[in-house]
Amino acid sequence: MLKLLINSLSKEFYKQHAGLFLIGFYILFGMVDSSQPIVYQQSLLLISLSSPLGMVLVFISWFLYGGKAHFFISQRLKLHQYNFIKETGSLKRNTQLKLWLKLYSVILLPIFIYVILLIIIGLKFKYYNSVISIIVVFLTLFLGLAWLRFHSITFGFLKQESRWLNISLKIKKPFFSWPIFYLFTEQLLMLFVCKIISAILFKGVLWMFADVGNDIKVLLTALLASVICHSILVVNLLKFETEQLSFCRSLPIKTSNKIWNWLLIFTIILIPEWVFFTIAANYNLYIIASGYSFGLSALLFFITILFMMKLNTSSYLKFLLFFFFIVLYIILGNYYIQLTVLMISYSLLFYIFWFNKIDLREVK
Amino acid sequence: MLSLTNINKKYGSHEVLNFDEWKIGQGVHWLKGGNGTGKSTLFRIISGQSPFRGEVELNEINLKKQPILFRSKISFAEAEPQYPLFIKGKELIEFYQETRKSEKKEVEYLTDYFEMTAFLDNKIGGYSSGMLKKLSLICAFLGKADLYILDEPLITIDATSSEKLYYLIKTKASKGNSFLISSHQEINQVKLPLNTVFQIIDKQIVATHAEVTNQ
Repeated sequence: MLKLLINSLSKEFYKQHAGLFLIGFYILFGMVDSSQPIVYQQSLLLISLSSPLGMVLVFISWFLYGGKAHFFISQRLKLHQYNFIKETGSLKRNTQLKLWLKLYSVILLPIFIYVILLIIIGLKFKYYNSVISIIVVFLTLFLGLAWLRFHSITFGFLKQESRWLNISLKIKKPFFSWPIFYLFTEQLLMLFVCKIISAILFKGVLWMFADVGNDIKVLLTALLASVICHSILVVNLLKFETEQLSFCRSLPIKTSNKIWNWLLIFTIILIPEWVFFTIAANYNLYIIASGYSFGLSALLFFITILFMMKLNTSSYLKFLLFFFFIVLYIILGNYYIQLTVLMISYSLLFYIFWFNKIDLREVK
Repeated sequence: MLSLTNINKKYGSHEVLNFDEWKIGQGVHWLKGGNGTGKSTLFRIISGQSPFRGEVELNEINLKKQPILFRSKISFAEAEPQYPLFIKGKELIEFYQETRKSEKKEVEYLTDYFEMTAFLDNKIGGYSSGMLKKLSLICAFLGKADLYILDEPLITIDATSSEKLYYLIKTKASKGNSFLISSHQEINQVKLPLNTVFQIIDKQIVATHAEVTNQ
């Protein structure tokens, strides 16, 4: 059973969050001189251990990650194809708890590695209070997640109808907005985490290159980091379209409308990033236009590539890795306008010539 | 009216359909057969949902060459319709109404006819499977299509709704609309006269009962 859970839940979790892991990896290892990664990591750990504020920030990030994992599994369990997992509800309590603890130990592996490192450094530099709080908080998170999952599987049928659904916005939802409402109703936490990380990365890149000023290359690099953060939202949006909007394929809807819909959706999703970018660009119209077109074309390109890859998230991860580093060099080389035109043109050609030749429901 | 030529459809290495030609004229046509014979695949090909090798034409409009025009001439109701759970029935119908250029009075007539008016302000996530099926049928009947493709329209709906569906199909057919219906259940040919009955046998479409009740 554990193997099945790992294959169906944890592997999927890692695949879907590949973009976030990629950015995290880059922040931890890619932004420092290659000769000093250990010193840099040790400094980061010591900053966290030496101040209560540092510890609180670390714990918040763990709980965000844990919450993300919890809601990811909850979302999966709502789907018919994951109904078999509910069979675990017939197992004894301790067996269930052990099962979920093992699964969460796989999902929380990045945090677990960080916990070990923090404890070793904490003991070495005699931050005993921090070490104790790390152990307590991590165990609370780890055991709490397993308990919550056990409880929702076993006693989920007792759950009262969520009032959230009843108080949700009573506004008319035109067709183009359905993917956005999908994010707000069924992927809210993912959207929230994505936006937080996107904002941190955007500001982080600007802070790193503060000495350069509001150079367009720096701003586009910050936007690139933010856009990559949205790669997971793109996966979910395409899955939503495949599973719940497939009926549209037999309706007389023009290809141009499909493309406009995506651009409109991405424009709305990136509103916070547009605000950051506009302020950082000092309201320079050329920079703003370049940034907006780059951001939109990149997300449209992501969804096009993911469509061509038939929603294969492993291939998508490899593409993201490739994309991130190549585009970074393209921006630094001042070829961002050509890149934007290329991404838009490629996406348009795909929708005009190949869109009807792929049915993602056939490759699920 | 509808012609399919040199059709080949595979899922990976598994070939589902392979035939040279299949033509149907105006009327009500039943494609019968058990699970896994390729009925839904054929319907998804004709409705422009699924890619395939070959040509599909409806009144000389080619699906591959004029996909938008072709889709405006057909209407498809899936066997197991799936819609976003957070939207209301009314919002889905409004989308169909706009896309298929249907009039408001037609919407009101059909929702009343299938006794769904009272539920249109509810979210689709709260619908039963029968209600969902009726909603998909309402959407399929909106606007003016030359060919209605109904995949297993009788499953999950109650006896009263089945009777109403039979009557609606018969009425539309008498006005010149055509129907291609799949069903593994027997269709009551007293209530719904059929022009032809087909079956998919070994990847080919075979007429098993032509002009059954040409009344």
